[in-house]
Amino acid sequence: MRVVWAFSREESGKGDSSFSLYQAAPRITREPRVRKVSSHQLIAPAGGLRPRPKSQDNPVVFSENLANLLELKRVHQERLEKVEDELSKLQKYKKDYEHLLKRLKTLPDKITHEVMVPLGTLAVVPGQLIHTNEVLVLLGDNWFAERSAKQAIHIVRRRIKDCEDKIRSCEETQRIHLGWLKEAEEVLQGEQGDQVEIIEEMTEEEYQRSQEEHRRRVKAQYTQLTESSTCHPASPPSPPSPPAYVEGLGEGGKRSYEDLMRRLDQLEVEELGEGMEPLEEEDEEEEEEEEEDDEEEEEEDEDEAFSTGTANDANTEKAVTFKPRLRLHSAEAGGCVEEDRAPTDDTDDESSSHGSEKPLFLRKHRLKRRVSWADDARPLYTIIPDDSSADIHHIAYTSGSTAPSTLPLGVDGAVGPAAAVKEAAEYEGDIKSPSDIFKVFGQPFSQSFDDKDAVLSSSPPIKSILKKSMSLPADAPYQMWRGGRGGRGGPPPPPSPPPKRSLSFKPAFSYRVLERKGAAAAAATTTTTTASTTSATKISKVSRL
Amino acid sequence: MGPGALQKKLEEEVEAYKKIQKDISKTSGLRTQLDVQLNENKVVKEELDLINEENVVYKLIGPALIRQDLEEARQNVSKRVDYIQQEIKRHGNTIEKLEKEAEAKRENIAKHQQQLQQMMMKQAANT
Repeated sequence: MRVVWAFSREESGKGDSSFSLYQAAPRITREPRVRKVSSHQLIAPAGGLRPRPKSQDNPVVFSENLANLLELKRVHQERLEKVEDELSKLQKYKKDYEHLLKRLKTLPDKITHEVMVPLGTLAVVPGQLIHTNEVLVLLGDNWFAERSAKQAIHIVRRRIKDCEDKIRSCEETQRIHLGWLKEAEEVLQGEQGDQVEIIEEMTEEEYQRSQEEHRRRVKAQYTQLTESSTCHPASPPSPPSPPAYVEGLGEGGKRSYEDLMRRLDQLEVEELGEGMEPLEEEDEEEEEEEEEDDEEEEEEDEDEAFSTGTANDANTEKAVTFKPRLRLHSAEAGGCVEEDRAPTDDTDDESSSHGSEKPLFLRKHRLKRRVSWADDARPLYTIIPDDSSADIHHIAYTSGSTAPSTLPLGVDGAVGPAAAVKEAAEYEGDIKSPSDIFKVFGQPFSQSFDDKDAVLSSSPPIKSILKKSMSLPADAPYQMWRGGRGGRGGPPPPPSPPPKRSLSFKPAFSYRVLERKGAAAAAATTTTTTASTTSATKISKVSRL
Repeated sequence: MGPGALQKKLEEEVEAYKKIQKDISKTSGLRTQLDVQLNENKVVKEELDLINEENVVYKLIGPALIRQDLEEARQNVSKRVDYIQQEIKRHGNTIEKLEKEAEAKRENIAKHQQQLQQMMMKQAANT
């Protein structure tokens, strides 16, 4: 009888086991992660060396920690057991597969094998194994494939490999759990036994004072070190801990930081030969970085340092930061290299080192651009884009007497002209030059715009263009325009293009009006500026017809 | 709300919370199972890709081994893999949703408990 089934069952046995294999594995690998976090959190503070405020609840905390540790231990133990079960199961599978491999190798040796075939659970019957090379393999999920013995061997080999992978990951998990258990054990013992938590209890002021002391000592040490190191141009030891923000600068920032450090070292060696505190260098770096990154922040820091000036770590650095700037200004101003100690600076021991920095600073800052509020001033004019850009919203605007239409313009007074202009536009489609504008619009519209004389008043005297209301954003461009043109001292132009108005296809400004005062100049400029945006872009907001 | 009513409300909330928890565990169990199936089907897919046309493929349907076409078998398995992945995602979403609900419920319960405690204290103070 064909004993194909026997093999397939055996195979399916393997398949089933591999099924459960997969079932078990994900569980194991996923869960430890959760535990790790919590135990980490627990263990970290235990060994911490941080000053804590005097607390009365120490014993409570203690027992809590203890309880938590025990819990942790217990859970880890559980997981460990599970993992070990899993591991043993996997190893059994692997052994079975290896047996199967051996069997498959020997199976095709004979055409038929004499075997005792189990019949039910209680009997065996002598029989033969035929078709010895044909093996039905369970691939999984109720799929079978008929394969030769050799191919089946390949399949089995692959399964063995899978098994080994899983065994390895299980062992890894086991190791992790063991590690955690050991840690927990140690901490537990520590709490009970000879190990003592190194906790210094101090108040806030004590802490501050100790920080101060520490800082002073560190500076002293570095002065010493740099003095010794300037003898040989080897780079001085790097500062103990770059300020926090430098670390937060990121890769590019850090690299430039290092470059700057090196450059500073060089300069120091060349020029000074005096001890220069790396801390100061740090601050210079800060400064340089800040200059490169964000000037305004620096300025703000400067102001802060001016205002606060407590003997705080951050402020110390800030204080130092702006001191060079002060010196810089004074240097630039009068070439005076006198030290200009900020009154807010509290730390005295920095004074000695500052003198040496000045020439360095001067040099460095001459190389770099100057930092000051003035320099930081952004250009206050608007770069008016090209006529063809989409940013420009051309506003048709005339002073017209036609009835104000229901145009959705938010600008007071602009309704009339826009309407008028539109009509005119429809009426005259081909205005080719400014003079045409005059011809088209010259006469009829003269009354309604007393305020905005911009467009085309031929007869009525031009009233002042200075808008009464400064709040309306729509007015701004006119004002800007005015201010540029006639020097009428309008308000400073807004640093952004004029807000969007309803579109119209007529030019916003007819230079005609403007050019009452400086008619010739205006005419000249209009003609020249029609084609391009010249350097006087702020003035020549020309829109082609 | 009197303490009795509040307590009843609290119990209701706790019940609802327990139900949500049960749902969560059920869904996550399903999801684990799906994970297993996914892995298995992936293996099958690999094996099927390896064998060539000459070999026969059977599928176990009930007590019978039904012969299948290799191509068809491959397609079936791929589709099954995709389907299982979708199911896993769906279950994952459900679990997330349920967890959020559970979180909300938990907070609610805590709030109610607090209220109850306060009331108890007030009553104790009054009497």
